[in-house]
Amino acid sequence: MKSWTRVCVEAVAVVAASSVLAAVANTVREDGIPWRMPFPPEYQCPSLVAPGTPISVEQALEVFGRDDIAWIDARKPEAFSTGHVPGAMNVPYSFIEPVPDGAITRLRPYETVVVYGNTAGEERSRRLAGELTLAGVEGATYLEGGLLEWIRAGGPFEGEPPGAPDPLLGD
Amino acid sequence: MRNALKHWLTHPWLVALLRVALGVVFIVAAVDKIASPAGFAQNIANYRLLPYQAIHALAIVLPWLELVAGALLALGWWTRASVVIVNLLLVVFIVAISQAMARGLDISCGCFDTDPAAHKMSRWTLYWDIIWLGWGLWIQAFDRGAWSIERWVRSSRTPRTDTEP
Repeated sequence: MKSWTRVCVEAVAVVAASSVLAAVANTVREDGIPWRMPFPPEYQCPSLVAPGTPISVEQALEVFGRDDIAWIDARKPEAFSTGHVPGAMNVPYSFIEPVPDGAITRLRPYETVVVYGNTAGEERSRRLAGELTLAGVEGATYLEGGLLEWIRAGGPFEGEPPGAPDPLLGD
Repeated sequence: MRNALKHWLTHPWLVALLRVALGVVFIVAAVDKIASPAGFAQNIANYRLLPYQAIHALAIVLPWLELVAGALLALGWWTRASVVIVNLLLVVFIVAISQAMARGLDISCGCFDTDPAAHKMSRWTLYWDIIWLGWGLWIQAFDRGAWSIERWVRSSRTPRTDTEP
């Protein structure tokens, strides 16, 4: 067998043997973890993400329309373009990418920043509010109940209301 | 002078010493990760590099790969394959650390300790990985099997040439 072919075969064997060992060890140990991380990801990024501060739909309705309030739509751009709270800015939350510096700078002067997703169980609004707080946006909050609860309570909305929550993604 | 320096730097004993040391580094790095798979998964998640579906699988397999490759390297068995794996892992670590630093992520490296609050990543985290990669490439280029089990097994298999009755 040629030298490099042999090295490749051995390397593949090492990777395969390690994977088998890892799988066996993970199966037999009591603190083994599932092969696929459940959604929403159970791991937060402790240095960047903290649980955000909640704001109820009633409190949000009271402050709606004030100049010192910013509304942040944490959903994907497609969802935002279908419909959103009037005057809201779209800052899609990404588990992978930190919030852009430009958005943080723009939001710092606001007294209250209301971050919303679609539903009460929505992780991204809570995480985005937490991340904004840690980045120095002191008034960052997340809307309890999300957009669906907001619309149900008569909150202003432009465009198509969101449909039923996705059971997998929670939005 | 140059030849003398090259002679010493590529001396089989020095290269073997580097090989054993790098193997031990990988074994030590694997121990805490194997002991705490959930903690290591959190470390990987903090890099914000992989889709969440891949994080647990990597947290389960990577420490064992480090352990096996490190052990093979230290013992000198399948040395070339294990040093190639170690070098490829170091390239992956360098890319992961560089992108985290470039994006301003204030996170723990997770290199030797899975506690997210311990050992915040610094430039030296990256420098050490680059040093180890250079070290690994040196082994890849100049290791001739000194102090290795592979050579010991091969020499013990070689038939004796004496003709004693």
